[in-house]
Amino acid sequence: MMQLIDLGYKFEASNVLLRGEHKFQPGEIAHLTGKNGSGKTTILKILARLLDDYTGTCEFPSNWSARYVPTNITSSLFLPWYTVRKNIDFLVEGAPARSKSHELGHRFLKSTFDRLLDQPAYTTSAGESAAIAIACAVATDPYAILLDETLSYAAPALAREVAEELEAFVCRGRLLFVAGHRDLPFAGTVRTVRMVEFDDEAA
Amino acid sequence: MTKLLSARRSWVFPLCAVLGWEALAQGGFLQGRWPSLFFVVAELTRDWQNILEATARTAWQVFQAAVIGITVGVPLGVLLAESKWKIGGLYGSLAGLKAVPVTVLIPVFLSLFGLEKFIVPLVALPLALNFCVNTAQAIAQANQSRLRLLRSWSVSYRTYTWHVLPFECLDAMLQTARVMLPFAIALHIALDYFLCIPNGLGCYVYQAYSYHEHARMYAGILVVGIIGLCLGTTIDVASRRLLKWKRDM
Repeated sequence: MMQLIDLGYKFEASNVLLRGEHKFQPGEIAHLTGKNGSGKTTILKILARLLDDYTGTCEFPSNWSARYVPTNITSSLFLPWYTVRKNIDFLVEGAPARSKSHELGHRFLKSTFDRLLDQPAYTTSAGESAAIAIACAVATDPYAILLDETLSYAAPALAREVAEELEAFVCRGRLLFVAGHRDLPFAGTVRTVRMVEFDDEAA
Repeated sequence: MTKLLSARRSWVFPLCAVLGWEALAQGGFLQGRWPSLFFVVAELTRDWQNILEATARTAWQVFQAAVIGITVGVPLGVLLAESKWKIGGLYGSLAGLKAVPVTVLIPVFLSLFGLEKFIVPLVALPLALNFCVNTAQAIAQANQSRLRLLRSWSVSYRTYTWHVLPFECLDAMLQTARVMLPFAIALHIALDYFLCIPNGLGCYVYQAYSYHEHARMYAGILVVGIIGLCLGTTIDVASRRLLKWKRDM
């Protein structure tokens, strides 16, 4: 189980805050919502341990490992100078995980996946990049996957396929955090966590 | 149509340069020391063997200096970026030293001590200095958020060093090459000119100047210009190909 209590992060102009005590059990899907600039991405970055100078309490389980999938995959997660195949190899270490990521890639992107594999990573579309990055994240089997608006780039059919796989991942006792404004295409229960800004609080 | 117009426009500057040159020559400026372009080209075709030999020597020695400069400078830059030398002020000192006038003066100053046999290391010195400082800067300015993100995906630092850093620094390295390689040619020619050991294009130009053979002197200078132009074009083409991913993103 992981616990977040009054999580905040101080920017120059404003604080972002996840007010109160939030406990997340394995097998949960959490949907972080809130207006632009309310700190959804910041919370995901704290959970991915990309930011460590936060305020409040963030208790990670001992076996915590997270894969953060950012909004701009091509320029921040993928290595645009390599092909998609080499990027998958780079992100997924070990042969079994690699074969799993390829299997998912084939499932998500059907026949286009084979064509994509040997293309430079910077030529992939946002939806294709999202599907490939999520396939890699699922293949590495972390404790949690953190998606930053990633699903909104996928076409409805692709988003449903990816959501099914993510639900299977969660059913294995894992956690999924999704930040975004749109409704999620999951069939099961999704817990909504609303971000609140200090300004909102004062008002 | 636009392409055709821009292609036409690209001929405007060379045409103006040729016309300006001829105007200066026919006007008798510089007390007749400015020969007509026709004489310069005639000299170029007459003495092509000597010019070619001098050019080959210059090109070979600059190539050697570039190899030494890059081989020494880049690894030193990596060490500089990775170590705490920066705190000790070494980085600041090197960054100050890499200023172009200083890097010209150091080899010229050293050449006064009878180091003319070491023209290649003298030219390599500023190259190594610049590649060292610029590599350290490029590594320091590399996309740190990408590093943190990839580390969170369990990508090892070793893998990052081999697969990410060289590409992140490639643009800075090509920019350094674009500035420093023509600079190395100019420095080689200047040293060659001052030392005048029977060497490359600098000595060729100096000898022609000494014997008041102005057409021959300008023929040598014209070749230097052509070399610079070819080098610049080569680096531009290499940049376009190697950084295609950056341009198309």
